[in-house]
Amino acid sequence: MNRTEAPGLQQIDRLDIRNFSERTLQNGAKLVVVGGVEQELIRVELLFHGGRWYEPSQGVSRTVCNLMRKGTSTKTARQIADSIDYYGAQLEIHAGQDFTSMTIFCLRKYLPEILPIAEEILLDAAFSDDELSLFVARQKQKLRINAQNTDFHANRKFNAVLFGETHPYGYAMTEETLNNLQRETLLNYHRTHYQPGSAMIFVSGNVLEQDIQLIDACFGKYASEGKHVSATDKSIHTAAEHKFFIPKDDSVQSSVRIGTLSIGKTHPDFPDLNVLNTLFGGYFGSRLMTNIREDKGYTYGIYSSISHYRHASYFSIDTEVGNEVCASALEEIYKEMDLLKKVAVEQDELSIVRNYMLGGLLRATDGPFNRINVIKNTLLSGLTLDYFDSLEKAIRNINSERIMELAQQYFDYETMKEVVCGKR
Amino acid sequence: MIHYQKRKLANGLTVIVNEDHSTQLCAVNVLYKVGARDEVSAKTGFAHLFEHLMFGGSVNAPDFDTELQLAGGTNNAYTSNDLTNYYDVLPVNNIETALWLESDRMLQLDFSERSLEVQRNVVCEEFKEHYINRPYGDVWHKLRELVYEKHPYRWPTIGLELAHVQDAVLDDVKQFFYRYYRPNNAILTISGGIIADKAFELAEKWFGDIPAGEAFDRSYPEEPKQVHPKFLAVQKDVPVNVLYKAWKMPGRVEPGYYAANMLSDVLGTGEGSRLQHALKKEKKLFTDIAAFVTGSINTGMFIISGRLAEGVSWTDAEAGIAEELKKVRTEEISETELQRIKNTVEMDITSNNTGVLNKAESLAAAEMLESADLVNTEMDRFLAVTTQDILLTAQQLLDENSCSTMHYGNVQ
Repeated sequence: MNRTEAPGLQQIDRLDIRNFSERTLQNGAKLVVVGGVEQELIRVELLFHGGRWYEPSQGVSRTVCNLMRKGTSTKTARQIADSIDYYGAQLEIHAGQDFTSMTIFCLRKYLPEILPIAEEILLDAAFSDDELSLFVARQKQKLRINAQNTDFHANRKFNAVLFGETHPYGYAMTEETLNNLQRETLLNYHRTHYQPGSAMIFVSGNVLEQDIQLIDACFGKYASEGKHVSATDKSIHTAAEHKFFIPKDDSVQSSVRIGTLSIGKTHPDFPDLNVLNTLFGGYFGSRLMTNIREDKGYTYGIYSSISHYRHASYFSIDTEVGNEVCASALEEIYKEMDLLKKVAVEQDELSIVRNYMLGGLLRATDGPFNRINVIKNTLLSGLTLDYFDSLEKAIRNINSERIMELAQQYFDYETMKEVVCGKR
Repeated sequence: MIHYQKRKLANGLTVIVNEDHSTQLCAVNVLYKVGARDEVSAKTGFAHLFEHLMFGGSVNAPDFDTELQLAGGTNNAYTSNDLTNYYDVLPVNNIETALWLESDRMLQLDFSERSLEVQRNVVCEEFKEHYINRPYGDVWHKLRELVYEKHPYRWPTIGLELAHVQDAVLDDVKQFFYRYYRPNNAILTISGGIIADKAFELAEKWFGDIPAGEAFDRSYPEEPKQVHPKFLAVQKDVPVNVLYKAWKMPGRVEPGYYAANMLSDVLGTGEGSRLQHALKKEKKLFTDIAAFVTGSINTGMFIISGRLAEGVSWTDAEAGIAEELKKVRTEEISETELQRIKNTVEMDITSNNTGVLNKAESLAAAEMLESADLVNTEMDRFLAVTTQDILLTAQQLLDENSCSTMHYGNVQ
């Protein structure tokens, strides 16, 4: 054995992402199943068109999700909590920008007990004034605590700069938003957007035919409908200025956000841009991490990413750096962008990124619980699973000329915004 | 149920393999039995700093991350008060890359001034990001110092102060390495689509020639039993007052641990738990309240922590908790409450047994605690607990005289 030489590497394969089945419920709604988990676990995720994009007024979707399980016309919040907790089950509701998910995760044997609770919450959540005022008090407290963090301010400012302060993706929750919440609005929004028949359903784990039948009996009996419009203005108003500084004199670190609106997953350049982003700041061996953490020690971490909402995408660089080295860190970030525009990437580096990303595809799709997430996100983006072939093809085939061309096009200082919160 | 096989190499390295042919990935996990409890009080934060240095390259593999990424893998590590754990997840057909890298840094880390200097800075930024630049960032520093008198659990893994990390020198690094990072102080677990015999053969190939380290005395100061209440008020300009109550409790696999763990669930896990329902929902004394155990190998902590609702006095908050504690110390909990906790435990253990990385980590941790078999037998210990055990535990453990209380916020 020779330790000085790395063991030979094998070609990295990919699991077949198309390894799932599709079912139709009695109401015509679609249900996606990925089975094959050995342990007696099952996860049922119900997805609704609901989230910031569909709100009649700010803060509604998050509040609704938070309060949905806090009581119905016949059950108190505690009765609901007890009936879920008793089975060691989890029932989580998450409001995103465009979608709301309700996820049941439990031992298979308890699915019959948990499904009806989910059904009841969707049909009959009560939104009592008492629960609403509790929620408002808690959220205000959280806002005050978060207001001490530099990253909290930087994130809020960054969203507002990119999308506009009143845009669904750009606004920030404030105490005023919380004070303005009305029970009627919440109730109305809930009944419109979370019809049990209108969910897209994703089931994974150790799944048997009888489980599908249970789900059908529970949700398939409701009409599959969906009409989701809201009247608020949704045009994006990106700030004209480029640099924003929020002073926070008691901080020891500065939060930095740099970024711009970017292209979506359906854009033909996206698979290649995805490789550029990974190389630049998307993994531990990236240019940013290597320079700013590993070489300079300015930060504990620095990453870049491309995030996608249904109606917009953006590129961002996130880091927390010592106040005294903030200016130097910013300089290095721009320097790294320039380098990619001017100097071709070496083959060795490209191979690392390539293999890391191919391994990443494998990890992202490994195991039923991961695979169903990937399938879900792809379908929700309006893409087919061919998208994965194009991602893989881009990773295998991209060359350094193409990377430089993309850097020149997409690392555009004309559109780039910089937000810093800290002490100068 | 996790099926596994276990062998010990001649140099003392324990190797455990779980075959999982449902995946093309594998997890390689190396646990070193060293954590912040093995540090001396003048050089705290060292075990964690050392974890960072383990990525600074070894003699034959100067760039750990790059080699692993080339093999399509990813990796990370964490340090606790009890242990340091490293893991790699990669396509199983490239498993030898992970074994090469892990064995090489166990054989000989490349001790370099440059790497030490950079990682000292990185850790200092981590210290600032998580413990200084954040409200309540020093809560655990304060609480640990209040509760523990003798045991090195007095300090958190990040260390007592920035200066300790800044002052670390290369000599410390070398000593630490040759004492703790030896095969006889480590557990290697592999989970994935590989035949067990093949995995053992590869483990022998890469790790077999690493010299064993000298045996050393692993003993920690016995934490004295607390007989008088302790109290600390920390005046801070924070938006919300927080209250902590902590009791010393049995270590992770000691008798009494399981009942105490379940008692914490009765009191403070989930919306239906007693503290959350009575004090957050009904009396509105807290906006958040929880009870939990630290699960430390030696004397652990049973903790109740809560954020006071606006305008609530420390006295009223304390009285609310005292009343719930009195109940749980005088009456047995209901069978329904007990069954709820048992169902929760069953769910936790079952869901923790999925995926190659979870399995590899669980097996290694179990082996360090007692024996790898614990991954399959521990559930029975929870299921054996009765309502009477819970009552007895509450009576013995949650005594005001052995309680450490901390008020953090506006304490005037």
